[in-house]
Amino acid sequence: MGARDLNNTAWRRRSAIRERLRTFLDRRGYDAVELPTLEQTDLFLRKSGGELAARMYSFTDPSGRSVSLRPEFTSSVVRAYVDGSLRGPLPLRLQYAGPVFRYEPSADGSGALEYEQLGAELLGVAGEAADAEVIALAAQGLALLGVSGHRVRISHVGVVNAILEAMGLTERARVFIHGNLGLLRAEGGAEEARRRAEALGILSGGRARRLSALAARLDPDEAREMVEALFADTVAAGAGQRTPEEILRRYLKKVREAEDPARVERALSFAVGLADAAGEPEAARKRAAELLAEHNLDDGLLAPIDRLFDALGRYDLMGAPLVLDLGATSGIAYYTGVVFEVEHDGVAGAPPLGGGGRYDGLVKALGEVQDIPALGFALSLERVSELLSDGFGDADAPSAGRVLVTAQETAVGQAVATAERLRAQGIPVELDLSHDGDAAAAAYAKRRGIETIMRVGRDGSVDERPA
Amino acid sequence: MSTSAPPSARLRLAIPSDGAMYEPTLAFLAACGMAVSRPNARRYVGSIPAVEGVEVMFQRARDITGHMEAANAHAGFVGYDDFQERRVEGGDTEIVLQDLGFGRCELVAAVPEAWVDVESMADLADLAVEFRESGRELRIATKAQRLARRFLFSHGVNYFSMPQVSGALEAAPAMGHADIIIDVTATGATLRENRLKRLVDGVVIRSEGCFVVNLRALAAAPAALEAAREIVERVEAHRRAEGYLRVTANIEGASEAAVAAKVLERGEAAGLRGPTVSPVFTADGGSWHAVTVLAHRANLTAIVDHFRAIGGASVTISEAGYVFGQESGAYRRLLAAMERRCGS
Repeated sequence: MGARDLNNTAWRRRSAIRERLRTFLDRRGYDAVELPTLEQTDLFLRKSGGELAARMYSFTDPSGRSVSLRPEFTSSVVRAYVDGSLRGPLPLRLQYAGPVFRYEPSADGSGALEYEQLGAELLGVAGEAADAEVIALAAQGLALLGVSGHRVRISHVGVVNAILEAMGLTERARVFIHGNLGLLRAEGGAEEARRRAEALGILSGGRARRLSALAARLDPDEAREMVEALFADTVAAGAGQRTPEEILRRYLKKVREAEDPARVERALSFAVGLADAAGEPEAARKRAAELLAEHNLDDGLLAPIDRLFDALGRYDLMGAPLVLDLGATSGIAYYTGVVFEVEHDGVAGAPPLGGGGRYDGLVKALGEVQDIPALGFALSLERVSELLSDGFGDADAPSAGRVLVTAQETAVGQAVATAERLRAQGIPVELDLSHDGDAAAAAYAKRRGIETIMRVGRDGSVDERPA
Repeated sequence: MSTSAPPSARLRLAIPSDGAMYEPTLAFLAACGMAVSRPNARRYVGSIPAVEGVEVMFQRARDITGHMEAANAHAGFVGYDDFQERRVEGGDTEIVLQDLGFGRCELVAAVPEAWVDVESMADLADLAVEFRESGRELRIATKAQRLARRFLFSHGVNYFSMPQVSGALEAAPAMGHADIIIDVTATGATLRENRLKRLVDGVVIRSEGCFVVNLRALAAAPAALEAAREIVERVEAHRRAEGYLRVTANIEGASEAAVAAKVLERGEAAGLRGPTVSPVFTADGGSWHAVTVLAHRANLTAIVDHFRAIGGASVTISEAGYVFGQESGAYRRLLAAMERRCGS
């Protein structure tokens, strides 16, 4: 399977990364918490979105409930907050580290399935100052470990959505464009996106389009009568759990809210333009503004971006450049505002080192009465680890000068007593349990890098010599 | 004969004993010159007299992939959809020959015709949320849960349940056991008869028969590997032959070389490798030669026209049957996969 074993060297390295980042976050008021590995499957289905859901390890537990190994932490953090187990005065700053599980299809079936994520969430603060704090955490945390050459790619789901709304797109079409941003930046992607939009009836000149035009001219009651007259017989039979009224109501809604194909076309070309506009923030901001002007849209739609970069300007990101890329995809469905990824060309296959974003609305969606603005980020420690020098974490290795206490079998009692006495003095001691003689003990000490051997006699005498 | 090899050295070949794949698989093997001999319909083992050392195991179609994974069989013919549903990814089984042209079907998502408002997977995702908000659950009946689940998630359909339905899936919505189905269909007729309609983007997977092997089991059994090679070669030769016809004509000319030169005036008249030219011994002493080329179907008319233009008489066309290449590409890939999986 794809999960990797860590030997002691790798474990020390991982542990050193974890400890340094934990201290870094501690100093900024992020309290460390621990969350369960196993959650109700439902939690992740509610908001995480399809891409993650399809990669989850889900199974039915002995009680018959569907449970999943967590594919990410944010949902668990919010769930715990809503449950009341992680309550605290707002703003609430939390940090966590632990394994997450995602199935990665790969040709040879060896795709990674268990990663270690370390991240933080900031609950209860809206606005760009909070956005900037969290983005700075990700960039600075990496720099602190000694990583350089990483950059932060920033997009904004809220801004893109507001632009699409200003273009007159219905929610359905906006969701479609968001879902296809990745495709739209690929070579020939616009054509494929157009084909998909047609398949979904978002972009269509067919029967639905003509019906929509008709329905638009009727008042709501007349439109309902028309639809009823058209489909009464079809709908009456075999609708299952759904009532005929329910079906017709939804149909009518679809027809009356059908998309104007010209608007969708404009939005598609706008989205392609957005992808092309990506780059160094100031230049990218300028290109985005030009794009807005071409579509007769107000420059003010970019105000959140300006405030965000102002706020980010107050932080020393320790050399990590920012990239403004409004055509970037977020992948996770619950993001509503800023989204970002930390990239580095030095990681094999160039997956992001981590990322995060703002998810206002998730707290309410998971059961809280009042909505609470929130955002967070997480880093993949495996990927971060790839970028660190070979000796990273060695300084945290147990100090040299360990002692091997050895004795003949008849003097075991004296040997244990000696070992315990040394340990009480803070000296790391290993006890020789094999009683294979001095030569074997010396060979073992050499292999383990132990510097001193103490041979304990039956009378409690200690013969000390270098190994 | 197949009985001459000791049982332990035979290739254990699983083929479907039931369902939509049974007849097409047997017909396909017969067309490849590997007719299966089954002593009687109640026996679950048979043989392929034309290929030495093969023990045919008739298995229920949905069990074949599992038998392959467990190395109970070395090789098998199975539907692509079935294999993808049940295989262990990155495991020992591997597809050697795909799209074999039989047992074509699609796994599709279908909803009641009465749902006039639902046409696409996006509608279904929307509806799943609506169901959820009104305290109901979208129930989806399918026998391919793994493929279906992945497909649904990838289209944003996150809330659903999959009730266990045995028997005819397409009846489940009418019986009230499920709201929609994800089922295999060849023509769509059964869906229509049950007042169901396919969603426009509801194709989960397109499937045809394929030939799969257990790499590890084959690597450990050289005699079985040899039998597998023969099956692969015959299937490939048959598939290749489907593109070709044998065109023969009598053409007058001074010598074999002269006739060949006339034939080769048109490039495509060379056929797969070039014309075979041999003298025809006629009663009146004319200088006729028989010319045979292996022609691609697409070039047939052009070749016949050319033969006529250079004085060809009695042009006859026959099916090629089998066309063996110099080397079997699929077999080479099998060996490479085996090497990767099991080392040398």
